[in-house]
Amino acid sequence: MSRKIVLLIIFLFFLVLILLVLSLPAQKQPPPAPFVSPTPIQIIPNPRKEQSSISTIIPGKTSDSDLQKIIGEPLSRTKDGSLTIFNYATSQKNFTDTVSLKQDIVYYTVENVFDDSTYGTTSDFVSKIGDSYTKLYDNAEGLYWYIYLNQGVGVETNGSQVLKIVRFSPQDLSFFLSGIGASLGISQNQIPPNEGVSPAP
Amino acid sequence: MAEEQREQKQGFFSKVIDGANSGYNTYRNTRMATKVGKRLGKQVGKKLAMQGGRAVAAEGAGLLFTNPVGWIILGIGLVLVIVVIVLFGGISGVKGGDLSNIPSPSPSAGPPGTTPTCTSGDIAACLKNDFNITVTNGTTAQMNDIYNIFALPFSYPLYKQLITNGGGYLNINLLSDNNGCHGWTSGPSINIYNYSYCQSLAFKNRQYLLIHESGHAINWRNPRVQQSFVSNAWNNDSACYQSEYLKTYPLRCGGSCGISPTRESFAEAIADYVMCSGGGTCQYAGAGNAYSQPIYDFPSACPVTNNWTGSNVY
Repeated sequence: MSRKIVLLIIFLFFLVLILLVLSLPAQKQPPPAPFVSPTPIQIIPNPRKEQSSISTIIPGKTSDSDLQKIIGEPLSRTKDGSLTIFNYATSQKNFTDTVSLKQDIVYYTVENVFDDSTYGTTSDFVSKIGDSYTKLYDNAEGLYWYIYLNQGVGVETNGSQVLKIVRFSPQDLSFFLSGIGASLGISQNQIPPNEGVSPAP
Repeated sequence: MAEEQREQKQGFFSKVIDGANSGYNTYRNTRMATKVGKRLGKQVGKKLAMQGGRAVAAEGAGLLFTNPVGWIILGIGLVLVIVVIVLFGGISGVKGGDLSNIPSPSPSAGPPGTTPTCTSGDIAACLKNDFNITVTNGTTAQMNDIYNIFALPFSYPLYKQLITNGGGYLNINLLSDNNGCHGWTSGPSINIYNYSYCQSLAFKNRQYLLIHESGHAINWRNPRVQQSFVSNAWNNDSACYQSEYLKTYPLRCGGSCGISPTRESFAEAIADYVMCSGGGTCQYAGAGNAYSQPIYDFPSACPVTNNWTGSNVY
């Protein structure tokens, strides 16, 4: 009988050992080779320090010099009236995130969103921040914005996916529409473009 | 807030099981071991059969459990069963990968299938059933015309999937004003003005207009597809773009008028690909509109735009 127990213990030990051996390599194995896309990899010049560090910039507080410590040198700088706009590379070619400064202080930022995992869907966003948004419109295609004026953040959406995030100092609606809204083509009413194939007969 | 959200999202860890080779080797080893087990089983069985009866079977079981060889065989057998379940369960599943990185299933791009036709005679029902399209303020003749227009792009399964993604209808509203044949799109609704006048133009002119507008609806339903276009195809064929617009598009105002070069080029590429696949002069917005520029042999003149559109929309 005692021999049976010894054999049973040996068997269980053996079984546990095998299971351990099976589970350990699965965790230590290198990640799988990346999927080779038929689209050539885009080389992004001068990538900024961290892709997501734009979210750490505080409009109304972050200064020009702080900005460059946090996010690095921009790809380019442009002027728009009293604003200086810093353009930063993103993970996608032809898309730039922008930081707009007024008198060397960040006025607002715009971050592009390319997936649903970084910030979740629009409903995820609303469930976290609340439904006290003002719905405003993009200038075409039926895209719109949920602007949280008191929280200083807004999302461009098609109703389900988050496409852009704007961050700004809390402000009232008229101030937003005349400043940031005008710069980004955001308005209270949708303005249709007039696409045509023929002028009037 | 954003950092916190990101941390909450980073909850998946990869667990990758080695590929088909190790699985096959394990499978092969398992089969060989099973064969050995069968031979041993036969020998034990023969020994037991000689003694016969229930009592003998019990005695046989006793032999198995009292004999260390029996324990080892049982142990190896159990281990092999577990190994096969673990390995083959993983291989046939998603390889234990990060689920957040697995793209949504979608039909692959490819040549068109059968061109739809309305056989029932109920054109409104055919538009709904075949294309998920509703037409407001349209006569039967106009609905027939719209059906014939969309029969071409809807013969491509991927186009059909993209334009119906998320469910609901594509609504085509026929309206009137004094500005000729024109239109615009908001979300899943295409507004076309003066369709009777559009019908006085060539069929391909209004087909181009409606397919171009459907490109905006595709963007609205699939904004990640449009982002891919902008990143990988837009403004890449120097002979085909002017002021960052695909130059067959007539309203190339440089973005200052609120007409986006990226969005319009995306919609234009969707129209040009399917309208101009046969080569020749690609220009269907030009009926009286001096601003559209022709592209000769669109597939070879605009290879990046053409190939991207063929792979990702059609």
